[in-house]
Amino acid sequence: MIKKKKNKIEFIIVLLILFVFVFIFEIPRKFFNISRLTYDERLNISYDFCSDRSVGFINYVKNKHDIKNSVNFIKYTGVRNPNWIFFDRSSKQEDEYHILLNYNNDNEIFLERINKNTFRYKFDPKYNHRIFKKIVIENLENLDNYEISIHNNLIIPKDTVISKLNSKTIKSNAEIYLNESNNKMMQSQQKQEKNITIKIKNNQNKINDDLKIKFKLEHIYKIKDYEIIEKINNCYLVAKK
Amino acid sequence: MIEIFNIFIFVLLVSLLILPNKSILVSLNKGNTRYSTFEISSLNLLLILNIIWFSSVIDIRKIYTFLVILSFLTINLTIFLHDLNKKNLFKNESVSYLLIFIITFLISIIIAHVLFFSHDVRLFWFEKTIMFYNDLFVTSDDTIKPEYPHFGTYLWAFLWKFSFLDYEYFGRIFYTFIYTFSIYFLINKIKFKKNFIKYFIFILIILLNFKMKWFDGRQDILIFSFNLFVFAFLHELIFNKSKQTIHAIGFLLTINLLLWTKNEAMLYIFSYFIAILYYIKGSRRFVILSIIICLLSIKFIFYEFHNIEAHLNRDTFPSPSNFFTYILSLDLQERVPQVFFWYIVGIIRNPILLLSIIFLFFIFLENKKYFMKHLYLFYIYLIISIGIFFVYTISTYDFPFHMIGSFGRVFLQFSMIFLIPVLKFFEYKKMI
Repeated sequence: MIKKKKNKIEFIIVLLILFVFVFIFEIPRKFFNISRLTYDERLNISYDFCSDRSVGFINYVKNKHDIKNSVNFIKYTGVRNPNWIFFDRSSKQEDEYHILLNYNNDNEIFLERINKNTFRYKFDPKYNHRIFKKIVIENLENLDNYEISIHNNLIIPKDTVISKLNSKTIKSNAEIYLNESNNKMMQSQQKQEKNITIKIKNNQNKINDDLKIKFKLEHIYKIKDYEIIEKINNCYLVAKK
Repeated sequence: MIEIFNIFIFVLLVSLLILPNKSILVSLNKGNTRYSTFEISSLNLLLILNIIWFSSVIDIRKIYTFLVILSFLTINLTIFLHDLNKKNLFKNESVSYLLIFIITFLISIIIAHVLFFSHDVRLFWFEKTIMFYNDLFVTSDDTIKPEYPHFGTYLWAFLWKFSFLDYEYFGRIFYTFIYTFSIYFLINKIKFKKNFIKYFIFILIILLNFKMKWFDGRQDILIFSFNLFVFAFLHELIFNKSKQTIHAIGFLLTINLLLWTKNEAMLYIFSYFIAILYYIKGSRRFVILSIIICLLSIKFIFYEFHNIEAHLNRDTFPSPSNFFTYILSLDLQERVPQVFFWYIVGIIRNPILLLSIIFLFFIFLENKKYFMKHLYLFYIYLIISIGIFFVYTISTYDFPFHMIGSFGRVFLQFSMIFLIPVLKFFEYKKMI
């Protein structure tokens, strides 16, 4: 009687383990997928095709164009080291090809207002490889003098004044062109994945509630300068013209 | 279907490597001691891993190492086939070997299906693997972490290179094999009333700590497995006061692998060093500790010789020049409670460690004498915990991001530390 009961328990345990392997770990489904899909197809499914990591696209162009060695990447995504797809490191990097990931033409960044006189651009990799051309301030009141500064937090945190506007010169929308050093500082913040904070002050310390700030950007790598070999969504395989 | 067939054959061949034939190492032992099949198998596996490690440090061509391993496999298989008709070849462990094979094969299917690499794997570990796959040496390491130990990635590259289909995941399948075997090796130290209970506990442990992310190429699963070997050998050396050379050799072979797998293994090695220093008496203690110091020196000399920076982790520790200034600038009142909080979360998130600690608490209440016999494990645990507190408190990484992101895998590494005392207690009480 006891032996029968023990056998029953053992049988139930075996059934439970089988249940876990079949329904939790989904072994049969994975078995089926491995037999149905190739290694590359499974690799593409495990990642995305052309968004964050873009493994699908890289794998696709690697196979289609028989690219053996690693290539130059121009990334507009947060992915690090997309080169891992290229296993052959016996020879040097291919200089002929460039892969642009998530290339986009969004050349305006609207800054988020975080308090009365502080505006923030929260780092986004899609704005990589850009020149920070100018800052546009909308809905200024023409009655006052303004001081615009960038909070530089790269080495020693400090505010760098980039422009002073006075009531005689400004219109309701002001455009501040960034000089070489300010542009470099902002590019450097972008490269180090840091937020950029703009502070705006006036002598009465009253800032219009409707005030908006945006950055105008320009591409460093212009797609028209390259020969497009492959384009799928925002991912490109290009060669220098 | 070809891929599945190849995985099957690969796992089968890997399993044949550890068939319980007496290895050279066992034959060297002159005593007339009878070893368990799993002790012989564990030494076979550790010996093979150390051969691969050796080839990685002297930069020998991989094909030669492969031929050595192939010869090992052939000898193993020949003896096995020769003895096939003999009774009790596996000493009633044939189901155990079959179970290890089946579980490894099933996990391999999961690995081959999900080919996703986590951030650290893509950035550091797989880059190193690619380097070794391309027959480059550590001196050509242009990854962003050249100071990270290389053994695990070399092993990955080695088995990838000699797999039939030339897919990287075959290297990771070998990790899986080490993982399943080490768990079984540890629980095999317990004398179960019925084998069924042993099989059940083995599968239960795997179900409790299996996460796909542990098998994506990160080295923590290797540290976990090597720690299991160490716990099993320490159980023999300290608890059973074993005088057998096989246990000391197994322990030292594992320490060597730990040393070359991940930098945080230094903390484990330090704790094992202290345990040996305190609990093992006589010339044996001197020999074991001297060899550990030698192994550490070999690593240091290797790094020095090849001009690799022997820094534990540049991102975690402040530079020695401004160490004290940095420590004084920390807000310890804010950091220490947070580290403590996440330490507790780390235990709660690890079911095996959590259950072991709960059981141990009751064992302590029930039988203090039994509890005290395993005190060496508590010292080891204490040293590891102090190390964790120290590292995370002074970490130069983003705080608490560093801690939140890595506690899971850090706790995995030593999560099975109390398994033997807990299971031994149930054995002692004739409950299992």
